[in-house]
Amino acid sequence: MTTTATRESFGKALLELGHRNPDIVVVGGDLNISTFAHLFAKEFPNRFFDLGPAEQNMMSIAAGLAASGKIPFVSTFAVFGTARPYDQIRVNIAQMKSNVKIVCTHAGLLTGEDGISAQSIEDIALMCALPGFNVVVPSDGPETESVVKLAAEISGPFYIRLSRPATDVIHQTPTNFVLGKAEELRSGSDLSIIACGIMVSASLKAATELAKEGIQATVINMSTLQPLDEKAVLSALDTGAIVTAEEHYIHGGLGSLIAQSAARQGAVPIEMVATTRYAESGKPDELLTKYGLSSSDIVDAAKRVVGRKRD
Amino acid sequence: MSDLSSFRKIDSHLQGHTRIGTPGVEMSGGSLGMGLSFGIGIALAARVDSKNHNTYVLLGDGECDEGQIWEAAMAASHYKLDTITAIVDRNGIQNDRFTSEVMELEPLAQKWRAFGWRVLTVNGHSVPALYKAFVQAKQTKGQPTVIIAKTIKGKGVSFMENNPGFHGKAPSWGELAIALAELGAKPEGKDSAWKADMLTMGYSPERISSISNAIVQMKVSQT
Repeated sequence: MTTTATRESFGKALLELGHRNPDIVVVGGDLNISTFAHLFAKEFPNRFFDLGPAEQNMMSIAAGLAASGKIPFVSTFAVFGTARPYDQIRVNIAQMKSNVKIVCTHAGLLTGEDGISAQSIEDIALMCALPGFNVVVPSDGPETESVVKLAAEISGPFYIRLSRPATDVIHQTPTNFVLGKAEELRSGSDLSIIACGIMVSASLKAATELAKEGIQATVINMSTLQPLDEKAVLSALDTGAIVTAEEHYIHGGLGSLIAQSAARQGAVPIEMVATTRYAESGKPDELLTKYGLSSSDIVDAAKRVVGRKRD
Repeated sequence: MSDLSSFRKIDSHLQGHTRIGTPGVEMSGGSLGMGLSFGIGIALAARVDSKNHNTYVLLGDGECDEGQIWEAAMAASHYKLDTITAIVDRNGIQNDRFTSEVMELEPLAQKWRAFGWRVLTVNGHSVPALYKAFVQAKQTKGQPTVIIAKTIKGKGVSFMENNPGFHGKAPSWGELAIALAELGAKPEGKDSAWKADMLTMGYSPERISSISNAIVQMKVSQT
């Protein structure tokens, strides 16, 4: 399987948007090479503002730019673009419904060696706790490109969560991403695996493994976490069991959102693959294995949940 | 004006803190320290569009305790935003106590200067002095300007002047009657309500009676 870094796809999409729309401006915080915002900065220096590592200022300035008709993309790491300036995001972006796009790279355990201060495992919970905020976790590079371009066209706040290392490419071409619409990648009748981000690829691998043992899994890419595709959850209930998979803390993320939606619409056994604690420094793959986020963890969860099904 | 009585009440567009949705309000606030950054965003957008309008941001002095103010101060001078004028209402009082007791701000002018701003310190109660400062701010090139407006909180009302107790507190009916009398306006509401209130505040019947007479005269002169 080929791989690409979602942050690089973001940088390229942003550059293309810059050529297409003069209202696109970019706000960064001294991490612009890492986030690939430097591609835009080099081409459009007058529409790019580096504010240094001062994220509170960054978010309120972005809101001011949006109030003047600009479409600001704020680009930094996930920990610095969510938890650190949360009240500024809350008041100046969420409560104002500002047309600000927060695109954060280096999310989750894949940030790896930088350690737990840099590993954002809380950001989905934080951003989904903001009413009206569109929260998207693309599954790969091509989907990232589609999401970034669509975000520029839809008025209102966006949070887009990306990764540092190259990750599996699932879609061979830019996808036809629709906000709030889940994508079924594989169909099976024994259970549904609902995943987001890098865990979509892991879920597909798990589904292949499960099929060898006679367990047929539907795999759903739930790239939009808010607004959630409730209909997709409803149809997942038909398989009688659900596994959720995310590179995030178990509370407040995809698993919590799916469980909430499933509980409202019916009831099936659910198992969740997610982190349950802070991790440590290490290589991304080592961390995913040690902290329970590998495809074999999804296989185990699938077997558990199928075992819990009432016939 | 009739909307004012709905302030902070359910279904009103007049919220406890400014919020988008109130006519004329273009920014939601309420949490301290965000306004200067927001103003910078507006000023940067104007620069991108080659517009030459000016942006004015009013700050509280206690608000300058927020770190974001100084992030913004640094950014405004870095980007040489001479279209920005900040006004600090330097009344020396914040939520709980005097600013000097909560968190010392002085030397405030030197702080702003060190962050690259032109600083103008004026009497915030003098319209000519403020006007002159605004003209100077507009003429300043290459750096943002801050006007430190020295004011007395509650000016003109004897018991409110420079009194931290009135930072965020509404006056009682009795206090309102006195305040309005001192400002040369007439109180609304039933006389008995504020008279009873003034008694519980410890005002002597003679004092209440003289205030009452003053108010009666005001009512006569206004009709």
